[in-house]
Amino acid sequence: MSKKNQASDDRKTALVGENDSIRPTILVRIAFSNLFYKKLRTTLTVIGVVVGIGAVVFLLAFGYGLRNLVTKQVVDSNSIRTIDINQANPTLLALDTATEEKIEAFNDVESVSRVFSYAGQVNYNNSKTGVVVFGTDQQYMDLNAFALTAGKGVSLKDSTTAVANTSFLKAIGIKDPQKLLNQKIDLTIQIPKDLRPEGMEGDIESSLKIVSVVESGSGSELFVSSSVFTDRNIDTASQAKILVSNKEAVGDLQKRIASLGFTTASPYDTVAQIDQVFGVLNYIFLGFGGIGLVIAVLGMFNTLTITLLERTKEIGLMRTLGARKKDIRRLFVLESMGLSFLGGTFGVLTAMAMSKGVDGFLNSLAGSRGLNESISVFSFQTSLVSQVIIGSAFLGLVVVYFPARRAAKMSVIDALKG
Amino acid sequence: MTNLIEFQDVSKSFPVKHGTVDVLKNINFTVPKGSFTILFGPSGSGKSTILNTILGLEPPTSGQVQVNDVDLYSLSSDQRAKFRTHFVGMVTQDNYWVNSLSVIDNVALPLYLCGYRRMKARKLAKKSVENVHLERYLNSQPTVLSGGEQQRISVARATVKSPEILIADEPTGNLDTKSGNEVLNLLISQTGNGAGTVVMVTHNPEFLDYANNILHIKDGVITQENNYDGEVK
Repeated sequence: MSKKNQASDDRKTALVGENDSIRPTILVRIAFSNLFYKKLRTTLTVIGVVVGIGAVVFLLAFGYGLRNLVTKQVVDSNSIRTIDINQANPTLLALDTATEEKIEAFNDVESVSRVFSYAGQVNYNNSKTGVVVFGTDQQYMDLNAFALTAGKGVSLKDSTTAVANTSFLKAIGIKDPQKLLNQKIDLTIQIPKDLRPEGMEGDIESSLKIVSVVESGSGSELFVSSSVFTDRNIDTASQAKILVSNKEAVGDLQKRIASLGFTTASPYDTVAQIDQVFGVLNYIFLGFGGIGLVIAVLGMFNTLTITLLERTKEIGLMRTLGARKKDIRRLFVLESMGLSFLGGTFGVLTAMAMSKGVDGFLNSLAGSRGLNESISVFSFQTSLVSQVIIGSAFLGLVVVYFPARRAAKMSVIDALKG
Repeated sequence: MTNLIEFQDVSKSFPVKHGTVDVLKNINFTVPKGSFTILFGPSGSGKSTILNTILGLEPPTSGQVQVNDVDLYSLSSDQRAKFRTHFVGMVTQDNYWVNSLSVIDNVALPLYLCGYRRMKARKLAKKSVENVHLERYLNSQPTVLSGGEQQRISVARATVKSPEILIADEPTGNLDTKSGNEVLNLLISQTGNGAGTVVMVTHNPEFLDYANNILHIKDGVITQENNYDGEVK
């Protein structure tokens, strides 16, 4: 660089200084000073945003809460990770040990419980009753989470015990489930001739002790250990239940099992349908809450525009003292984001407080009618809360766009004249 | 003698409904470094337009404005904003404040805009307010002060970063004689050997005696009466 150019640059540097500008922390401090200088106006504007955001959060949390309640009724935490397998065509495709091993080898499969189901007949007090007999294992019983009516637990420890359902009780004419406990029954399981293994002649005859009674199905059912069948070399089950290590893998695993030729079903499908229904419901809620939000946005826009008109001389002063256009724009953006952030935060807190009130009212109402289980019809997921607070700050960015642009573009001389 | 500001054939016209109004007509003048320059003339003669042009706020229609041998309007809008932050201090007839800020923060504002840290800026601002003997109002809102006190705080703000040029637009216009003289003495104290250059607009002929560089302006035309010999009267 020539000496002449160097001197020119030095003179220019002396004129405009180094590349420094107002620190963001100071700009934030000035923005908040401006906000709190007009306390009443700021408070009223924030209340407007609180109402808008609060309405949206309250309604969405209600939607999520209802969905959770319904989902909880349909599936418990484990059963959502299960897949039921049925034979599409038993004669072509056997659900035997080899298939079980093949499925067990798939990734994300935690366990496989096969279920043998055959028609049977119970001889109790010289009276014969038809039942469906399910031969399975403890895992299957646990995953189905049957409601226990009598007994100390749903246990299928050995081939000498059985679990009956309440319909079976009715079929044999017993009203009190406790009376059936530890009673011996004679069971005949009818194995069709073409499904009998070599050397097996006739049906399975077994004497079993009833250890518990559960709520299950509308017909008479007996659950016995699968060893009742496997000990007699019967290897073809009619269905199976798979426990998957994580619920995200359920869909993929269903496809892989279907590719083997089996039909599958999972509570996960039901949950997906529930999610779909409540997704639509939440959009409707969002629409209702959105009305309040639109009013809040208009209130914010109004406040920012009035602020701009009131502070034209201040803007002129700051520009005269050397503030750049972008500094003025940033100041307005910070003020707007401050308003919406405060509104968003207090909106969420207000919605939470209101939900506690509603839950308390519903639970006391339920309590007065003999229901002691406490429930919540609201769900404030972390994602919902954080999205709303971040979204409200973003809303501030959108609302301030025109006022901030106008403030930055204002002629300094005209601004000083007011 | 070094010229800090130089107007070369500067004209400024404003568009009106039917045609244009020529406010500055091909004017030439210089402001020597360290001088106390008074821009004297009746209302509507173009004084404020000249000040705004020196501040980098009013680009001339033609001609060149040199400050420190740099063509001011060859700089971008942001660079001219930085020029006002670093190089210029300003006192106006009406006082302007950021109303939500205290006296000390208003005085520190030019330093904040220069990128100073809050602590350092407030320290320098306090010193500047002490120079105008109003430190008891440091944490007050500026609008609660009297007109004379506000004008002295305005001088404290304009001088807080020891600018090369101090622009004063009718700084005593709204003040009584006593307050006016106080403000004038504060401005004069900024000039002289090794200190800043003051350019003051006034239509009060009594102040002409204090100046060593007088620019008479009438109907957009300037005549210069330069008595500057390096000493302030």
